[in-house]
Amino acid sequence: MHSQPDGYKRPATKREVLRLAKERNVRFIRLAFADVLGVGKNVSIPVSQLEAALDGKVTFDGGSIDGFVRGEELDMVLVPDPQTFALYPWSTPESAEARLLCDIAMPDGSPFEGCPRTMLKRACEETRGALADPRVALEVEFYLFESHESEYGSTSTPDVGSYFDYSANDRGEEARSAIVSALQSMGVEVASAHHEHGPGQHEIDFPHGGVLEAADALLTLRTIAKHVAARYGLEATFMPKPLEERAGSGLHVNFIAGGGEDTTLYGIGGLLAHAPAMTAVCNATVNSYKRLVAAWDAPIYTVWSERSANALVRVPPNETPQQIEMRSPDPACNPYLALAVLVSALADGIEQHTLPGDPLVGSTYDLSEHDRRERGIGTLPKSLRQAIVELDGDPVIRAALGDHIYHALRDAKLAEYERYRRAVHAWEHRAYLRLY
Amino acid sequence: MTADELVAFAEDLARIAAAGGGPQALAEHLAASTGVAVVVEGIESKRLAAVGRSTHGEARTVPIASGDSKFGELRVFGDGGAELDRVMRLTASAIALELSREAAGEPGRRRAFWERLITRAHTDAAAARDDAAARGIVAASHYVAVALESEHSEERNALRTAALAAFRSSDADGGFLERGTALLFFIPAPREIDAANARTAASLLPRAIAKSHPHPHLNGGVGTRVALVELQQSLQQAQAALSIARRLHGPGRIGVYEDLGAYPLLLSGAGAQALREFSRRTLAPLRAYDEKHQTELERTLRLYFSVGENVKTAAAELNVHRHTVFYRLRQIGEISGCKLDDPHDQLTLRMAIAIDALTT
Repeated sequence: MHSQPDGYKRPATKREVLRLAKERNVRFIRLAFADVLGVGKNVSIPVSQLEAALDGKVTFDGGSIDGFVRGEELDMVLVPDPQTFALYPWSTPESAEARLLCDIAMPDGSPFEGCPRTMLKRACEETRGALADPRVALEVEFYLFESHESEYGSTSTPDVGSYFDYSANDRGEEARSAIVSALQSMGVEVASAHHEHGPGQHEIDFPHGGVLEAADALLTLRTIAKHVAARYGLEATFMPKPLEERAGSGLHVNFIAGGGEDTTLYGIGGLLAHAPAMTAVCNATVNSYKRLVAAWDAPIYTVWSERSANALVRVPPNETPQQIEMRSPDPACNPYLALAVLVSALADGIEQHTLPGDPLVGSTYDLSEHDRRERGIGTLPKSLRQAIVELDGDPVIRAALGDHIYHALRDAKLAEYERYRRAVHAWEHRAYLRLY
Repeated sequence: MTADELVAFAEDLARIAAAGGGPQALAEHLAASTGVAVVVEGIESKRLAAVGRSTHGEARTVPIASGDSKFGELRVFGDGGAELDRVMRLTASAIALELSREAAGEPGRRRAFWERLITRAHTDAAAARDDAAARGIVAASHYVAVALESEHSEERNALRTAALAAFRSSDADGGFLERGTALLFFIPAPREIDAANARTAASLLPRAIAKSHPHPHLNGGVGTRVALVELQQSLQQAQAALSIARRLHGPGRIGVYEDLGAYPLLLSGAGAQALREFSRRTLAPLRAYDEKHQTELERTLRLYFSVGENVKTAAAELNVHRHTVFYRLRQIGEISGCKLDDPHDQLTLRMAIAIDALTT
């Protein structure tokens, strides 16, 4: 168990950020944001430009970022969030580097509807009637592989560990601890960290907190893990299914919706009803669908349970406050978009009084087709293409994304799927090259 | 009333009419929403419905009419707020629709269909569905009956409104009848999940009206999912569940027949065959699990009861660690749907085991 360093307080104002930057000898600041695909981007500025940046006077070429305003030479404005000011762990007392997470605004200062972070804030605001103050915790799985000089990286692991194992000679363990320390030094609270199922697989858990903070934490983890792992000769990957014969990496999203038993049931109903459409957002790569198969406790059906490890939604009984765990997302998703659609699905269920049926006892993998039909249990999409079809047909999830992001995401993902469909994979060579 | 409240009022009227509520139910909705007393008179001043005590003094009157046909008058006593005229006109329109159906001599009045079903006038599923279609009813293959009861008219009105909203279905038409202080709902359940959701929705009703009625007097019962022509059986179960819930738990509780275990048998004074069927049904999930997974859940349960619920002794008898017994007891609870620490559920399991021991 790790805890946040004593005395850490997030700066709340522009003045506090400027004071901290001066006190800590900050030389450069990265103005960081996520594109529609969830990939972290940044613009680095010298500290002399920090005040101007905090005043929203730093611009970048929006036409060069996926899903923004491609094709148009439009200068977009970066609007830093003072509360996200943090020193990178490689900072020294003499020379520090900091980051600020930013919203994207239009040149006239109005919110940009293609900004994922702004969109998440809007989704939280619009669902406030049903979800006054949702709290969310994340369990993030990822792999640490040996870093080799190769075009695409390696999949060999530095350990032979398994669930909760501890080995004194495990560089992966050391790297994971260093990642946790780095996160804490940046003010990101970590609840726990441990070895996962397979060799090289790890998990870091964030405690319950605000929805925006959770999305920021995942974006920060993905950036920091890669930097820190490299120092240990390792490569961190949040790719959903890097190895065919081992467990994939999931992102379990654990909500506290508040309210009573009825709110919990309606919330579960909302998550199950919108799960197929949310898959395009929460499982946004072609590789995601190789994790969502009947193995390694991955969810494949829209069913909830109190204990079953492979149900889509797990609601442990007799917990106060009641928690609702959504188990299908993977850590390669855009955390802002994923949390926006999840919060919207929860809220829609609560507003519409959507009931989820009875909880399932036992494994979902044992369900017959007849049982599934009688219990109203659907199947998660089996491919990114199928997921986009589901997204197209769900007005609630489309509205949660907003027109701009829906179309940008859809276009990008259809193109990605088409590239994947045309590619000839190693499996096909193995299966057919000599056979035919 | 805000515009949204006005729309909600009209939607509730539509639900009541669609479920076959009739002039009395529509008048009660108007009275509950505005606090006025209501009288519905047909032609020749025939009283069709009345709600509330203060039907004296000056009345506001709205004609009940549809096109050129006049069916009577809607009279209201008391101060019903700024939008009273509008809600009276909406209510009068809904009553006009109901009365025009009657005037047209439609034998297919919705209420009559449900009345026929619960008196087992239909024994053939195809004939029942044809009858429903002739009356403009889209009938589902299966239904669940829910019986709700409150002697307090205000609470009953709130309950009716909440239940009509909670039991809405897009798959097929539901039914609604009023019998004195009882409200009877017939909820389409083409799949098992629809029945599960009907049970849950019914169980949540006391909470739904708790804001306006924090000290509930209501009770309710939910029957099992049955084929359309078996609706009477589900209704009898719902009424038995209502009665058991009231006697065991007092007011404010909804009994679900399937969860009441042995109690319906005790209430009805069941015969040997019903007792054997109950025992078989109760133990079936454990036996199916044991057979499929080669486990000993049923044996563990019998032993656990026979040694006075002493886990240590049960573990010794079974030659397993006591943690294994705890694990099995948790499995038994999940698979049987019975809580082993609940005295009512314990009675069910103990009776099932006792009947099994006596009859096999």
